[in-house]
Amino acid sequence: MKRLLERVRAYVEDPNPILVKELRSIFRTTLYIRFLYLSTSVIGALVLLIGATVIDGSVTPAVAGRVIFHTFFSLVLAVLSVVGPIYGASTITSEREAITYESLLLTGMDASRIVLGKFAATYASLALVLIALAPIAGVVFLFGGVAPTHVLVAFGSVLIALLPAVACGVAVSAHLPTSRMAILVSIGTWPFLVLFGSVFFTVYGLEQQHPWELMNPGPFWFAEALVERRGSLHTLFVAGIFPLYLIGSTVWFFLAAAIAGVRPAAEDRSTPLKFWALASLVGPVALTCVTTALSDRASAPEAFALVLGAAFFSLYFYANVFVNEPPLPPRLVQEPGSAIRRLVRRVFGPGARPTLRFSVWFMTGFLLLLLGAFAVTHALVHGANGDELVGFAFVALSMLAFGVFLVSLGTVVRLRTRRGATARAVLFATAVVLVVVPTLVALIVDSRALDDLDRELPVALMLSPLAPLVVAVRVVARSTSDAWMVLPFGVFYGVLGLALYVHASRRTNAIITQADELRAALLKRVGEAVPVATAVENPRAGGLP
Amino acid sequence: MSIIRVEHVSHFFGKQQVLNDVSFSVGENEVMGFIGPNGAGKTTTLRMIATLLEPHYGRIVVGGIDVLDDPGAVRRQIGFMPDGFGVYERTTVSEYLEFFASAYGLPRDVRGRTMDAVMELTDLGKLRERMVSSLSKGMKQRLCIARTLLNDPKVLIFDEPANGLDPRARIEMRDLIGQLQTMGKTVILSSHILTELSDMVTSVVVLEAGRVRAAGPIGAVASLDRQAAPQRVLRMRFLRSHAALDPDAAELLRAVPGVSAIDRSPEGDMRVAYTGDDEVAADVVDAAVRAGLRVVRVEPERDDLEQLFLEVTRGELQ
Repeated sequence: MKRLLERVRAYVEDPNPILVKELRSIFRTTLYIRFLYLSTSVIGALVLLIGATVIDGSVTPAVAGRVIFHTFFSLVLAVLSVVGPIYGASTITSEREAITYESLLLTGMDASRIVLGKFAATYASLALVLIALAPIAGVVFLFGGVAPTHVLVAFGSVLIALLPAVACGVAVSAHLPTSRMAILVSIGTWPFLVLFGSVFFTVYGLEQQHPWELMNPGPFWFAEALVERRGSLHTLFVAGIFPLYLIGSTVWFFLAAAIAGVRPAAEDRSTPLKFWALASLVGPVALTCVTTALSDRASAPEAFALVLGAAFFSLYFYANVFVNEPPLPPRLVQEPGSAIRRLVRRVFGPGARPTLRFSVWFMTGFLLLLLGAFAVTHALVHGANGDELVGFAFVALSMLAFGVFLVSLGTVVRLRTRRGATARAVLFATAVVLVVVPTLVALIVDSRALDDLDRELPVALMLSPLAPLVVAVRVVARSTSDAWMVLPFGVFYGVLGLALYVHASRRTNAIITQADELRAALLKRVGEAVPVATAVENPRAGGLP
Repeated sequence: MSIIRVEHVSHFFGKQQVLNDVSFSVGENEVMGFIGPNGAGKTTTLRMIATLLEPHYGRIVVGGIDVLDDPGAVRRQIGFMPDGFGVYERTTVSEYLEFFASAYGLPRDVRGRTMDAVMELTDLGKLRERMVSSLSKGMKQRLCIARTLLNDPKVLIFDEPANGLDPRARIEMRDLIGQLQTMGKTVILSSHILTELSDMVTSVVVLEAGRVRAAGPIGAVASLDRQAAPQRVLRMRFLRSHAALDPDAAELLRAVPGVSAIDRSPEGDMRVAYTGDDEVAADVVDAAVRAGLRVVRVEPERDDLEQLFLEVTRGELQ
């Protein structure tokens, strides 16, 4: 505790120089001041306009207050969801464009300090916009219907929602060369994710309205739920812990990706992402435990099948994250440390082969943890459930086989083409083709093939990634004896994945051996010919190996 | 003793080879001129020494440390000012330096003194509260050099430092580099404005099409050059009354051992081509005086570095 306090005091006395510099730069731009004026005046005018429109005598003041409450915070969230990524997207690219980036790297500052400084400064400047908007929220109290605590929770939620928006921009900025490109990519992705998430969360809130008897449904329904039902574990999990976990995990991922983008190629870029991946397992496992425990015995398998389906999709995402490792491990990873740390680094550290190994073990662990969490929680809360567990085990193993196939395929493509973007494009194309083509074939053979998926798996879909999902649904429907139907899928992709894994390992070994031989030959040459301190003609070199 | 050793370095951009087996070394407290035409690979080499690029083949050692093994340790020994450098426009001079002092990890109690010393050396003390955006190009150049000095590096690498500077700023830059040398720094300067380098450098590396054409102390390279490429030109100007060159006088000059040709420049100067060292040039001047020509100006047609550059390079472009 004492050490922590000392660290905090040291940080306050001598803060991250990037943070200080960025804050100075941001607050000295007229653009920022104009944005502050514009956002407060436009949002203020809109809120007053909507308030005036609602108050036409047909609704009570309390209802009008609630409408203004949701409108105000939705507008603020929408504006910051667009502006957050835009501001974040120019943080690192602006250094590249102003030719100051290299000077920054040469100071020896760690990439994480650079990224966190940029992130914190951008976040702070946008949080100030939210604070400037706070007086407008006071309009809500003119009408009533909303408690001050609801407004505070809503403000807190917008502040939290701003974190991934800015982190997304910073991550994109770290990977792209120009601010224009980074801004386009950022506003082309994050606001849509926020829109999708908001719609989902609002619909979810409307569904919860009856059991929870919410007075204030709408996009910010959880403000009332968290305040009025603060004693409920269910509410705390659904409206508090789970969204916070999702946002925290997203922010962590974006920041790890940004650090990887800022680090030079010679340094370890993948380890921060591996730590993030391991931490991200906590959410699905906790979700499995909670949904299994909170559901009744009949609907527990259904909830687990949903989690398993989401996990299957996430395997594709994890494969994409880990396929862009160079064949040679970065040279600058031989840091001093304990024997265990060195061993873990050698086995699962940076470089194509250890990262591929990590990916396979990670996917295996992920699915086993989910199965284990379901089995244990089900046994503890509802009693043993052997049949469904066996069925889900078949499904999980087939998903694992497909995950190994994807990550091995991506690694092989990366090793062959030396381009991570190509590997990711091939993964996307493979996934699309494997889903679309068998589906079309099944429909051509039988136009009603998709109607009876819960009873029969068409032969054409046996090797489609839809197969494990269909079988999972059948397991839920108590057709556990049909779990064998996923065997061809699992065996096919398992064998293919294993072959690709072996090929990727051999290819990596060959590249490492070749590089070692080249370096040994070069060092021998360097020993023979020490260069000049006196005038010489340069010895003309022959062709390179 | 060499502080920088570049050993058999090659580098590629895609399939294009930009450096081919480049080797040279730089001694401590030297001011080395890195010269070559545009596209020769100067910036690529300097960026590799500064750890911003990695050599695909070969080895670069700075202060005994391989740039691939421990770039962080190499970075602590160097100050690098890239060509077309950038500065943070919305900070003041002192804020800019404070930022870099902090980024270099200088302890807080040392920062103020270091900044004062660096500002005094670069003559920025009076401008400490000025916004960087309001500085002239020359002053920004000084600020950038001041930034590279904050961590007291042994080696300073300036890529095209005279680029875009007015004559006064160039002279100030030259004086500053002289001061840095007296402080014991090793300085590497790249430029294609050779007259800027000729007064400052103690050694040169001539690079063309990704290959080293010549390298070493400037005197040794120049004498090597004279052995290999003997033709030099002396430009002479006489009083107006002697402008019309007397054929007899021209014959007298042509008779000087080593003189191979005489002609006139478009400006009316006499150009005497000769082979040999400065003794021959002195003989030419003596002969002109004996011939009754009243000499008002004598100069080599190009300075040694330009001459050297032209003769060791072949006009190849990457």
